[in-house]
Amino acid sequence: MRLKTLIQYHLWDYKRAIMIFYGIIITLFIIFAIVNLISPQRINVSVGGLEIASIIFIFVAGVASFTEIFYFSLINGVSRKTQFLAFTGSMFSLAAIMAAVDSVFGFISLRLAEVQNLFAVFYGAKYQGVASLQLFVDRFLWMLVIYTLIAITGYLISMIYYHSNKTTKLIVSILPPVFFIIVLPLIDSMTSFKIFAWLRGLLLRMLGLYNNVNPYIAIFSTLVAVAIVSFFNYLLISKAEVKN
Amino acid sequence: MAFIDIRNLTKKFGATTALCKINLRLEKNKIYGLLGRNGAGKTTLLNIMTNKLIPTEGEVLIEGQCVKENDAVLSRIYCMNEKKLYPESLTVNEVFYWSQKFYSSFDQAYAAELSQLFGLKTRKKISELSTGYSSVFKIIVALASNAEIILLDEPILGLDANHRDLFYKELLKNYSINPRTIVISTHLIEEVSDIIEEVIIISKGKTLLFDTVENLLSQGYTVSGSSTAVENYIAGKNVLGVDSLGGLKSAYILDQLNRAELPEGLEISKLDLQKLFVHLTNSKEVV
Amino acid sequence: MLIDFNSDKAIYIQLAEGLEDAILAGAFPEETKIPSTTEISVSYKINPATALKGVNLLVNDQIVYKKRGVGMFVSEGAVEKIMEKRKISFVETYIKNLLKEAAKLGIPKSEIIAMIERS
Repeated sequence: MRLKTLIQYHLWDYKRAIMIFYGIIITLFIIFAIVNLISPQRINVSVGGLEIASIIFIFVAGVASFTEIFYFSLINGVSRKTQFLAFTGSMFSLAAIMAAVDSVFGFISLRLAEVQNLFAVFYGAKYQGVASLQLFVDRFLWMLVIYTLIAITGYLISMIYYHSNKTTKLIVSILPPVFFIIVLPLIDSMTSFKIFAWLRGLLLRMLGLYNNVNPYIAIFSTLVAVAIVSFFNYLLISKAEVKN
Repeated sequence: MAFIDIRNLTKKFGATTALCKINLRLEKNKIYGLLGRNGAGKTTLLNIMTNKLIPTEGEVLIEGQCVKENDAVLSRIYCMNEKKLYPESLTVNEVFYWSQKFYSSFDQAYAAELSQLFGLKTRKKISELSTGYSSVFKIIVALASNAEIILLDEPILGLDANHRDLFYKELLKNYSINPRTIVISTHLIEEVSDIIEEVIIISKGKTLLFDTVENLLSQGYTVSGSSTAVENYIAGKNVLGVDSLGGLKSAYILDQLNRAELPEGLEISKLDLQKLFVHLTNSKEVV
Repeated sequence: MLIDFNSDKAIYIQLAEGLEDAILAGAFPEETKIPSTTEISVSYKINPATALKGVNLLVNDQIVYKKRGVGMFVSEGAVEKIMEKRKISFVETYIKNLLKEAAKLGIPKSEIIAMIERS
């Protein structure tokens, strides 16, 4: 079945990149561990969680792959519908793999060095500092949906670029930073700082950090975002064509 | 029911109309030639037939089923494109491997055999292949796909004389043993005219002509001889064009030959399809 | 067996005639196999349908016949049939033209016969 084959291809394509990524992480980890063991003073190397690195990696994976795999899928006679399902499925699989690895990694590093990860920083209060099973399951789910969202957003961005001509590309690249760095602060100062406060409130609510910490709200918001981004991904790929 | 039914196919790119109301019915298991000048719309047509482009209007049906976004139907067609569609970092072997996974009819042994025949080094990455071997590689994937319908977009470009010869022979062998529907798109008419059974000529996005090669050839002839003799003879006939070399002339006639009326010293040879093609595609009228 | 791709004579006709010539010359004795359409098609780089059309001309004249699963074989008495066929067209192609040419040059029939006997 072509969907399965295309997902296999996606993952095969990423295999080498993933191995290099984790190769580097493990090497760094070993180096830190050795340094800690042999140094007279305990150097407090805060390794933290892998979340940031993984997010960057999976974002780049999403952005980089569109054109090459699109053409490859077309020449192998795969419909755009199936391509959409394949990359959503493979991004989700990739996210699952990375979330699983990061979970294990988080568990080990906690045992060895009592380090905090991003999730614990945000939602640690809920678990009263106890490294329970509930914590790991919630953390895994949280990473899973966030990584998926990041990956498919990367895909969305690369498709936007694919559909754009030079001028549009320029506008698309400049507009968001300009908006956030210049326009928004301007509006904010004009409305006596209400905008930023309102945005901050909204963000905290969506991330389940408003009153009590609740990671499930964050997971839910992320799933909604995944649905929205997927909708646009489907729309954009339906219109994609081979270029001259 | 026609095997491949192209209905009212129109494709616009912004303000440009690349294909305009193309209507074609192709039968099963014939070798078709799709002829046209550069930019006539041949590649656009082949791309729409394989879901690489989305038609503005109209549709392409294979045995009654629409090709657009149809995985099942698309698994029965393979199209060799001029454009590089395989990832450059893959090796030839890896492409063969994945092609087998997407096209269950793909024959690995046959691909290996052809690679050896053509001298294609299958361990090489696609990016490392020369222009000629790039074409060879694409042709091999197409032939080894064993798809029911094989479309070849300018397969001869970049092939040296030996490879061209090999290509025609392997194509004919493949087709003879396992008949399938083949469409060869090219602007090199003379080369393919003996291999194809029927010809479709496209010009500026419209079909100019669709006929058997036999019918086409029977419509005219070439007459050669001394300039004066030829000039006298061709007066009043439908002349496609004339070539001169010193005191000798060759005239290309689109008319029935009457051997009885043929004067001494003039030689007859077959209608030059290249001349017919140039005449048709230069003409402002559309048949 | 040469095919002139430039000739205004259709390829399938040239093919049939070429096969007949080969049979006459003894290259394909009666009850032996002639090349398959695949072999002909690949060898001359022509469409198999064209090759088939040429061979079918011979089948129609009963010069070759098809043995299922094996191929095309030269019929018994094929040589005679070909010679008969050629004799008829001999008159058309050679004799009539000879007479026409002779008439142009003003050579009477009696002189033609004398010329033939001398050659």
